[in-house]
Amino acid sequence: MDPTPVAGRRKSRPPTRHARPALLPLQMAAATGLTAGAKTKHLNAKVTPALFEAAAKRAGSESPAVVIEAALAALATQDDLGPWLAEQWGALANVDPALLAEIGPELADDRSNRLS
Amino acid sequence: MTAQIGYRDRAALPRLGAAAPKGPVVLDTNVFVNALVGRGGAELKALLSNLPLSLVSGATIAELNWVGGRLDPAHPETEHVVAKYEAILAQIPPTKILVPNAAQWAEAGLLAGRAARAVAGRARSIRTAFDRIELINDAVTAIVATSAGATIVTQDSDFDLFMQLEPKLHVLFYG
Repeated sequence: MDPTPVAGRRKSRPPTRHARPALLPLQMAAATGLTAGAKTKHLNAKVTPALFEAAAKRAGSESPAVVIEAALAALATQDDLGPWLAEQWGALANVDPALLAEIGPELADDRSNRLS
Repeated sequence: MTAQIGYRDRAALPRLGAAAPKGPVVLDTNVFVNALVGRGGAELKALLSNLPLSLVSGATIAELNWVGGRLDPAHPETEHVVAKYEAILAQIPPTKILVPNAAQWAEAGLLAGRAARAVAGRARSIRTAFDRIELINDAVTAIVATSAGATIVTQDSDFDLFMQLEPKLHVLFYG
């Protein structure tokens, strides 16, 4: 059993340098209106202390409300761009190389910026 | 101080596959370009396949849109290629685009200038207006990604210069 009193765990601490990545999904969630309006949805859940502490470290707060909101924002703002792009892999592989070379240095003979 | 900075051997660079991204991932323009033609390697494809959140710099949005204006409309394959790029852009919601503010534009210009000075006179240096624009665009991506606490995935070695000038910048190279 975790000996730390709940009240003690709720005490907020200054944001760490790891806080910014965790807050980015909150910013994106706010930009899409997901955090606007009254907070009327009540959540009551039990999780392992290790999971909570790891998430709290990323969120930069020990407040369950802050951590849960950050975690939900991270989940809600996920996207399918990466997997979609992976599905498009090679979709233009057979296009005229001369046309592709007009797109940019990545596809031209002059690949001075490439690692190779 | 910048005299010691230069393009390093690829073996010295953090590589996709050997290291994991720190924080969200910013996909550089070359990721999209290479993925569409099937280049970039298994590590890049594996990353994309399992990536839950992707961010894109405003500079990349401009570069992807550039294709629609650049390709010859009379070429029989232009419509197909442009449609594919438009499909990419349709997959990127505005909230995933990192747009620089006025101060970040200034930071980007300064970073690009420092990088150019660091390699001035060497075999690989920034000589033309095209080089300058390309470097500033890359610097914009570096600045907004750093601000977001994100890792850039790229094959562009100019980011190696930026990493040496800005230690907070995280980059993973592929290819």
